[in-house]
Amino acid sequence: MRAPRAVPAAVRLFGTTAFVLAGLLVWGLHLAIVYGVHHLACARGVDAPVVAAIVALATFAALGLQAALLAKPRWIASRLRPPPPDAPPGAFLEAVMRWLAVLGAAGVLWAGSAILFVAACGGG
Amino acid sequence: MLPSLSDERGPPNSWPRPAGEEEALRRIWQRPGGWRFPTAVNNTVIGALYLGAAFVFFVLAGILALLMRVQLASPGNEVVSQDLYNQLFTMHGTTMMFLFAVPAVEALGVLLLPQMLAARDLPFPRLGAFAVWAYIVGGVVFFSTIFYGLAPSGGWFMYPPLTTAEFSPGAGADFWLLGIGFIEISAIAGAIEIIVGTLRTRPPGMSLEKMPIFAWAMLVFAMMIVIAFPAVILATMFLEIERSFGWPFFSVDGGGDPLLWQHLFWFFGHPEVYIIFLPAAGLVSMIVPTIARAPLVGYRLIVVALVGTGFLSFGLWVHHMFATGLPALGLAFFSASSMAVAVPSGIQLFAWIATLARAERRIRLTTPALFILGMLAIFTIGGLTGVMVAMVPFDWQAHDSYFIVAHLHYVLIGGMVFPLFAAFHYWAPVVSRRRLSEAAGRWSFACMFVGFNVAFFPLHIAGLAGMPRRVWTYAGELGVGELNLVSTCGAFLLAAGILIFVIDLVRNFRFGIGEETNPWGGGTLEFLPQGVYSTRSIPRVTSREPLWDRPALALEVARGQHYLPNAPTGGRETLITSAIEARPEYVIQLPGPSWTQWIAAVFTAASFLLLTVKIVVPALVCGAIAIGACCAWAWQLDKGPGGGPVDIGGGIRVPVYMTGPAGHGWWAMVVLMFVAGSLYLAYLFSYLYIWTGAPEAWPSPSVLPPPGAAVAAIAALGAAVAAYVLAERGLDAGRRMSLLPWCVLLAALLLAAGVGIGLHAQWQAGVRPTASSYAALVYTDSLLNGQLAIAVLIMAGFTAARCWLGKVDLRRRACLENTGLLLRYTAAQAAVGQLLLHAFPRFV
Amino acid sequence: MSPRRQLLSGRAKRRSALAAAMPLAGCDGPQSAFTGAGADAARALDLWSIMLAGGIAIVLLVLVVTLLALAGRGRARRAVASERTVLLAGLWLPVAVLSALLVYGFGLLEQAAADGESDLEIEVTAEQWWWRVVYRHEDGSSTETANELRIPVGRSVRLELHSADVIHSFWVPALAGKRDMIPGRVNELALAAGVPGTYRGQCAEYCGGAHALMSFYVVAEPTAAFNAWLERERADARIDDPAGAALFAAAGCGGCHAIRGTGNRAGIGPDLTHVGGRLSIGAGTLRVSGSGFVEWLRSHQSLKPGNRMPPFEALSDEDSARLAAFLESLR
Repeated sequence: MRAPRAVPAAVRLFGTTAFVLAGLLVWGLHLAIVYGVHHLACARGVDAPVVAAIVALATFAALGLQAALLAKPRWIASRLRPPPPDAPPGAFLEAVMRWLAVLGAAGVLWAGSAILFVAACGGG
Repeated sequence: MLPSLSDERGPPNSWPRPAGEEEALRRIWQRPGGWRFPTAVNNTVIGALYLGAAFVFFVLAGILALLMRVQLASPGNEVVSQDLYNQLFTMHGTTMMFLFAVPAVEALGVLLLPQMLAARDLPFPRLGAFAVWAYIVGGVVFFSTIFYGLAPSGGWFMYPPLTTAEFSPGAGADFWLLGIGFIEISAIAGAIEIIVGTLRTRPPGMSLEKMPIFAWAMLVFAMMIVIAFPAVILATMFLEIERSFGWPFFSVDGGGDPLLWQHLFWFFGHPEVYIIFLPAAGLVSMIVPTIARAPLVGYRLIVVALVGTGFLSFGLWVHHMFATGLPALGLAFFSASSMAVAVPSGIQLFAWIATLARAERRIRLTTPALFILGMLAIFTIGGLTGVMVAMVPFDWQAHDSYFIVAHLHYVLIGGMVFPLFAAFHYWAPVVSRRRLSEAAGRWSFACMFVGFNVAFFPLHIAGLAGMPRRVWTYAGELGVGELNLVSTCGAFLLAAGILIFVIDLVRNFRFGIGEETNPWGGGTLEFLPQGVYSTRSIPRVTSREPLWDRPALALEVARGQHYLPNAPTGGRETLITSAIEARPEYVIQLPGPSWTQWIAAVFTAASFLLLTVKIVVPALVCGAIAIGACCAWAWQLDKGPGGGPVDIGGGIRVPVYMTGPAGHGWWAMVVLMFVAGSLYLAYLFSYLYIWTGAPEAWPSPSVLPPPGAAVAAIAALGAAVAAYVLAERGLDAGRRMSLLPWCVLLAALLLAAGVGIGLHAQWQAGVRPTASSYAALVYTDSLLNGQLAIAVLIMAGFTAARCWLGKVDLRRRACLENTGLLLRYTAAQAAVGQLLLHAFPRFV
Repeated sequence: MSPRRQLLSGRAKRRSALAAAMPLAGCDGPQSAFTGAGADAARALDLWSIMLAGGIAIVLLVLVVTLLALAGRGRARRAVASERTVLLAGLWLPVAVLSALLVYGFGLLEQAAADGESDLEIEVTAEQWWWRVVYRHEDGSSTETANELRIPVGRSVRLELHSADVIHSFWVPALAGKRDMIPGRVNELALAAGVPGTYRGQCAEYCGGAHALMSFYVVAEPTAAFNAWLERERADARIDDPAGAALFAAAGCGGCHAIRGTGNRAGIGPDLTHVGGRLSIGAGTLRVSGSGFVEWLRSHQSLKPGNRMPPFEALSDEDSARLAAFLESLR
């Protein structure tokens, strides 16, 4: 017997997972961007200040997203998963999402702040 | 609208139960004995086998370590030769990491998760059996190489160029590469089971926030395996192909880069240690509340910590490469994330201590409690030295010295082995008829705790005093002779503690179900009365510690008053529930004992091992037998909708068959697609990484194959998907069933053609994989797509056969669906590959 | 603070203060990271002291909290048992401490990266299982030696690290952290010795076979002594023993080993031009003084199994002794 067509459970689960992990996904994307850009830029001889600027931009963007997750999770949740027939994500998953966003924000802040102290493309 | 799962109306089913119901369950779930033992699939059997094998490898690798410590006890020692020592440390590390640590925690998952979730078994019992036998056969053959000098000697992380054919001739490295290969398969098979198991086989009412912490830990563990293992699979593929066929991935001559191995390996390697640690942390989170007789403090924070650690651990890998000369800012990013991952561990640590503080009565220092306290001490120290080496300027001194050896043993033995021993003692009553001895447990703890610290603490100092790792001897000048001697004594004391445990095990452990199944007074479901069929009925759960909150539950469950107290289809079943709220959805018909998966496992292992020693034709024959056995195995799986929906109790009627996105088969395929996707992403990374380092090796557009070839390939791929969609729509609309198998086969052939066109075009353009690393990467794309296309062909043939034999119809269509999923994925992956290979060199 | 200033600002005073503060003062030695005789090593040692103190404090904290949890009185235990404590001790405290530590580490990292401007460049190439050392001079010429470096005290020396085969790692813990030597890649390491002395280094990346016996010495001496040494090293060999030199060539040694000033120019094995003046043979395996050369010639395969030098078993005892004497004379 096939499951009902309206919003398959698997898709709902996917949306819920993306919601819960949102803060960490932002962190992961931030790290991929700053590390990737730095690696590529240094290999191609791009100026250090340009790299630093990109890292700073990425860091502010990431922190902004994570702040939004902490402040307005339900709005984001409704974007990521269609309204389910039963309860919304629930206090538990929302709390987990928030704390993960806090962890992610710490990671973004720590990685991004490196440009204040360490020059881009310097020796290692 | 499904009935409410609240408690107010009493247990779902009536009592007394009809006569013969329990006897039927016992008969259906009977474990085959005697010479039929290899056919067994019950999770308790598979889990115990898995754990036993892992423990044997632990002891064997430990003996190798004792030999190493004897050699290092004084400078200039000659007990063990240089060559043997290099093999010993390689085998010790490889065996501990791949044959003990990951299998042991996976084994505990297989053994305990269904009991904790009151499921009768994991959702894919034969897959678990396949995984454990492939692991056992492969692991035994791999380990035996130390006895006849064929063991690898490149270190457990096997860096090229040392491990290329030029510097490591001989089969040792090949044994490592192919040996690890099928252990990777075992791990991924286990991961599929655990993900679907924890998300879909929970008892009704056990929503995610009531799930035992160990289940959360195993869920994170399994998802990490899905993302991390493919990176090392790709790396081992690359190195084996380079060794055997000369495709230059890591050789500088062809434009390759030895650091590519390090990136791929450590992208796997760092999550690997958390893959090992997180389940053990989950075990601690289960044991501590029972010791304290109080619920866990900060349950949701621990969930946050588990998920956070698992996710963040993917962003640390470059900290293993701090000394490779990468630019400082890049290192700084990874220093930052290495700090970040320490935070969730701190959360768990204090949550455990807080839970202990919540105890109302004084805590009895039973053996599990002692091992937990020992774990807290050792793991804290290991975590602190981990933070130290996350600081780049310090790591430049500590890296590759005995300081790191000390650190890694503190976190691995403290973080995983001590919880493992706590778990042995704690859960032995669930699996053994007789209890282990408390006195022996305390003695073994004392010897292990003291011995461990005496063995490894001095090594921090020895490392900073200048002793590098992986050395068979060292100069007296260093002044670390005494430290090493003390360490050796400690190692033997540690071994003595383990020996005491082994003796206790041999004397007391008897596999089976005993009288007293809950001597510690635990609150979670694995302590319900068990039979060979797991619990008599599947409980309705309303809290995190059901046995504490509802003392009558054990009696109710044993009487069969909860869900599914019988076997409505006459075969092995358990309940499938929804992923978040655990509402019953359907009854899954599980396969029983069989020879097929055992034959598949043995012949898969044989095939890999024969390839290792380059005996090709028998290897291919074994591979074909394995595939045949897999087909026979799969043939029996699809039992069809049977007699329609059944009553499970509480007024709930659910189907006994489910296809589509709500079905377990679909979910398993999706997990497999994530594995394939992770593998392909690792490939994309490799392509871009090599290009970044050696852009001059990339061809100019005039030398590339014509874009028309890419268009043709993509057209063929699209046609494959279209043919399949046609077949599926035709079935839905009830049209010509006779065309269905032909459409399926056509689709698979078009898919293979699409991949073949891409390959052919590169060959015609004169690209040869041995010429450069660019070329090798081009052919890798065809290899990755080709593997999947061949799998789709086999699955299509299987599906077509089932159609011809009338086993596929509108409702009964699992094989059609699964083949369709993999076909679509492969087409998409191959299309991405064509875009990469044609568009990237033209536009960048 | 530039490495130069660090070196010149009372280094000896700082070292003894650190040594007094650290319970492991007795662990310094020629190959010890506790010695801290170079700028990079001193940075690492400072960092270590701070982290050790912090680590001990945290272990004590965990111990105290655990004891309170197990055996404390009612109020204390209730305080430990709350989610608030978990957050305070397990989240906010680590975040604060690690933030501070990370920033400090970034600062040290930047200092290390800023090191390295130097007028003295030495190219070191790692081979299985020895070190090829080439001094580059301002006029473009170069001088090759092996298995030993001499550097001036109080100056930063720039090392250019190469590998001829597999991955190795250059590590002289008393002076600096390690840097890998990777084929196809050139890495750099700045060595800045603050205290004169003889330091020992060892390969720190497993390179197969005799990895454990791939060591070297770094001698840091005052500038005048260093310059004098460099002059002697640049010069061709002074042949005091022509019969020995003839035996050297006849026995086939010249097929791999160069001695500048003779006809032996092959660069397959270590350069032996001034080998008599070095501290060790076989990359740290044996001391040069006494019977070192004879032992090496006679039993190098059992001393350093698998090393790339052919066994030369056919060499008679007499010839070995004469060759040893000749090599010792090459100062």
